[in-house]
Amino acid sequence: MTYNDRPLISASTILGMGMGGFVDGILFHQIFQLHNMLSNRVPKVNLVNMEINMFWDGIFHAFTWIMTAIGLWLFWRAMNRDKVPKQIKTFVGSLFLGWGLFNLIEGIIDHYVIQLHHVVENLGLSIFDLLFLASGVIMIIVGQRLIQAGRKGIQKSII
Amino acid sequence: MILLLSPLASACPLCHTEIGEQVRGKIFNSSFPLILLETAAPFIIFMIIAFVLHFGWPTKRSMSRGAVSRQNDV
Repeated sequence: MTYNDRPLISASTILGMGMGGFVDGILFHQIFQLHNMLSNRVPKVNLVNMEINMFWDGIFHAFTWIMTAIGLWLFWRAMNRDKVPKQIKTFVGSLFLGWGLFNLIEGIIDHYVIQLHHVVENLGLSIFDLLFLASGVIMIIVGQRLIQAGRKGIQKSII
Repeated sequence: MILLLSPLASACPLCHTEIGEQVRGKIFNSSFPLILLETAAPFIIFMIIAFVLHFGWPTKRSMSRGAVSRQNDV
């Protein structure tokens, strides 16, 4: 019998990206208000600029929601396939992988390349942006390890 | 008291106020498509990564490296 963990990994990774996106948006953009989507270009110095940032934060959340919805749909499909192993380590590992990829890619693109915003806007490009990327790398490594452990678990179960 | 006497500042993008007009004007202008693309950029890459995770690199699809297989049925 052939097992295929790819559908579970891809679905859970997208879910992890979505969850990471919501943590970024809710925690940093809204609760801490350390940065907002365009805060490097449109500084939050008056009500109009704050409204503009709030609008683009909403667009960011809309994209995050769409991605999470796609992840849920793929996860549902994966769970209904006989050949996809229901392995918790693969699932949790992929969530970590997705969250890590979110921090790494969003950090590189939005903080460093396009520079739409930074983690702490008052400081500009700072150590906190680097820590944001580092957190992404750590979560990717943890995720990969868990996925590998999940694959070993699958192999043991079929031998 | 000062707060009670100060004028209300309705500023939502849908508000028909002076500030609302300013907000709309600074969102829906010629730079809107570019900022939309910039905001979407990470998500486009996320979906490409998810595609590769699911199907593998297009040239290596047939290899299906993610499959853990066994010759005999369990």
